[in-house]
Amino acid sequence: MTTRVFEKWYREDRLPHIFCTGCGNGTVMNCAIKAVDTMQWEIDDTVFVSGIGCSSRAPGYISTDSLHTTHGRALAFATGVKMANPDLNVVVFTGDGDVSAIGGNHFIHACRRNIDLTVICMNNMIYGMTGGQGSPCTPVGMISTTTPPYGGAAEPVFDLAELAVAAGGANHVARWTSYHTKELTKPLRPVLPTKGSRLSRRWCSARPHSAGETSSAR
Amino acid sequence: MKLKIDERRCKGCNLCTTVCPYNIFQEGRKLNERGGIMIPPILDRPERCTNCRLRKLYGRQLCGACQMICPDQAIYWVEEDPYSEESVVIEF
Ligand SMILES: Cc1ncc(C[n+]2csc(CCOP(=O)(O)OP(=O)(O)O)c2C)c(N)n1
Ligand code: SF4
Ligand SMILES: [Mg+2]
Repeated sequence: MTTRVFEKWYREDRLPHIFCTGCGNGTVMNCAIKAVDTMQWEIDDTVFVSGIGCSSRAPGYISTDSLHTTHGRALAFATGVKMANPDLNVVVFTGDGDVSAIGGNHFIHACRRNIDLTVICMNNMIYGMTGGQGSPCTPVGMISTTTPPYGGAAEPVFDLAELAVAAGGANHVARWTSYHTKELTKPLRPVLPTKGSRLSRRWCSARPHSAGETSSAR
Repeated sequence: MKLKIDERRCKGCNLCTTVCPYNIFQEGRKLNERGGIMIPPILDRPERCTNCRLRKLYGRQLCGACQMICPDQAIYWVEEDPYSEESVVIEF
């Protein structure tokens, strides 16, 4: 007997994944799968949906049915899945660029509508996949490939957790870093069975070539 | 149980070296078996691992901090051959 991590939930033939060395996306996947597994959700009645980005590649490594959709629109597709079959457990993996920039409106309205979705945002504070451009979540003063080299990002950041609360409907909003594996799985546990939308925002370590300082948020 | 690192998956991030309460994972020096740029950690007396020692006794996964944090799903345990030299005795 070998005890691989969540053997039945991972598509073993797709691993190793594309995430860079030390990237927290893989850890967040472990935690999400652990929460789902603890909830005794089955592979056949769980769907992972994602948009575009490194973080959004996660469903491709998971054995359940999954949708890898268009940039920012994962929540629209997830809403469709839930409408078509409300018995499915729908989890959305998304990135900070995906959910706060191009998908910002989908996000607030998904929170407002409160239709029993779980959103897991892997916030690395940049557009990772396209080469480390600044996102609405890049902290003030941090350097990315599109922020001024001296002084860094000048605009105030989006606080996604506050945004979800302000949008009115989200039943549970939590934020942890990818170093906190225990805490990352714990808040999901009592919460996943609650009907309504949930946002779990996870901070990932930044990729090595991107906004370097943010890696302290590991 | 015996602790293992899958060198085909490990990318050498060394996150495991930061979480193990026994400091079993030490920064490696040798390239992985594919000869790539990835340097997997080395295991310092892995028989100290809680899950190696007590999994059978408790009948469930114990600790597992390293496995959860490993972003590359590279850490796992194998059943141990009872007559192998590394075989460990259960401590209470
Ligand atoms: C409509 C559209 N616009 C732009 C892009 C280019 N694009 C691909 S990934 C990405 C950024 C993703 O950033 P984020 O959601 O933070 O994911 P990360 O890679 O950081 O995990 C962008 C802008 C696209 N694929 N489609
Ligand atoms: S399971 Fe715990 S004790 Fe065992 S090697 Fe991993 S972190 Fe160390
Ligand atoms: Mg991002």
